[in-house]
Amino acid sequence: MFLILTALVDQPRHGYGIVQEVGRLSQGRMELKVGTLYGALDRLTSEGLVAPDRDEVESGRLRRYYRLTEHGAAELAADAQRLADNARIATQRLQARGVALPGSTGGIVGGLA
Amino acid sequence: MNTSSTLESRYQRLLMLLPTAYRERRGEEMLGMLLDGVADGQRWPRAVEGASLAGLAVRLRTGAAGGSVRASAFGEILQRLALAGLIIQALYYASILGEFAGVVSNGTFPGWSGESLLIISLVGGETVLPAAALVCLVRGRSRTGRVLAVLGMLLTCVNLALSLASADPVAFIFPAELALTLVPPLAFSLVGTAAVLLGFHRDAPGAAEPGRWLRILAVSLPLVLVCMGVAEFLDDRGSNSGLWVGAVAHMIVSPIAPAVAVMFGVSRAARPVVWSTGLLFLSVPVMAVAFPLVGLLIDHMSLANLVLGPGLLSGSQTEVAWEAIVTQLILAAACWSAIRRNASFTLSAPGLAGPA
Repeated sequence: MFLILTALVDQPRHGYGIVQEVGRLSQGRMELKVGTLYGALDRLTSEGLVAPDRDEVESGRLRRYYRLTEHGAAELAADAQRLADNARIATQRLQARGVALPGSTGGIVGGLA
Repeated sequence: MNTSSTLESRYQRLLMLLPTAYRERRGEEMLGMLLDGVADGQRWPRAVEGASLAGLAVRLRTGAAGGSVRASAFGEILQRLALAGLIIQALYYASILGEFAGVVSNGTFPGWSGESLLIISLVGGETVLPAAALVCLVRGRSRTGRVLAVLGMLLTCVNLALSLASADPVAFIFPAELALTLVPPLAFSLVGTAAVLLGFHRDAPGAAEPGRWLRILAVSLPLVLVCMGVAEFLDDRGSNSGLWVGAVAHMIVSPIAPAVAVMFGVSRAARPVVWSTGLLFLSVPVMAVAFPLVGLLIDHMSLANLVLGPGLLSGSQTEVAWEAIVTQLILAAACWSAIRRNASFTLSAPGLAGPA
């Protein structure tokens, strides 16, 4: 849900566009299947977080675009804040313990005795 | 026909899994998405796509957003049946724990052994896991709730397999007694777990009236535990009142599942429909057969004795006979209530009872 909402932040996207964007956002770790995507879209639409934007026909195929609603943006912002707070707390505690974070260049923070 | 159109027609056949109304609304869009993701040279839909669509088809028919009014009602019924089933499982095994506590407290317990430790651990798990699953499900932690419910079912399977392996057929008065003692709890556990898995899938809405379910569990679980403990304690001291307390405890355990399912399943569901009521009725025989009969058989009394009268009239098993009679009356009243409510709803709003 979080990644689907995030995929719609910058622009409306159609189903396959959402699948591709979620794949990019998760760095290939998540591949949305058709049943998962449309189950999620139905739920997000019924909750008013996402709304159909427009229909286009390309190469004879119907593409329905979805956009993030204001309510959806507010929910995503709240979720992002909650996750950021959790990550900050975890990072602080790991640093206090002297554990190196992936991607950090300074080796083990604080060193080991 | 070229490869592209062949693949397209195969995808269209795959989409036939979805409910008709949903397919008419979404089918063309989903087909476009599936074709967008086709790899070069692909001739068949991928298995994961088929599995994903099949899963969506099941979820849409059991209450997921986007499904029909009827499917939504069916999902709600399934959820209520699942929660009622978890309560009755927890109560049933709590009653066994209560009996065990009564035996220990009155000093007749022969002492701990590896076997008794194993059995009491299994029964404890079978009490706690359904209760914990219910708490998780009504609080929106569906995934954890599903896992706990499945673990509870697995424990029941293990427990029954061990019982079967160690059972002495000679100890049972009637040939069917062993099977009747073992099969109903297993059947009930399987039906209840299936209702949990179908009713609380990832796209299902949250359970209605969560506080009510938690209150039912919080009141009935300690009540059954204490009643059975007191009954066993008094029984072993030779007091007749112990038998009656036990009968009351059995009555609490026996009719509560169908009664709860009917009260909160049919009468309070948003859109009662004929076939969802039918599902409820399918579950009733399991509940009706399982617990009164197990109660009877545990007390070494046959159904024939009960029906023919000696159990009721001789005075030797009066409390068990009355327990069974009251249980069956409550079940009958619950079924009759469901039929009347469904009939009156169908008469007053026939459009909602037809195909959605």
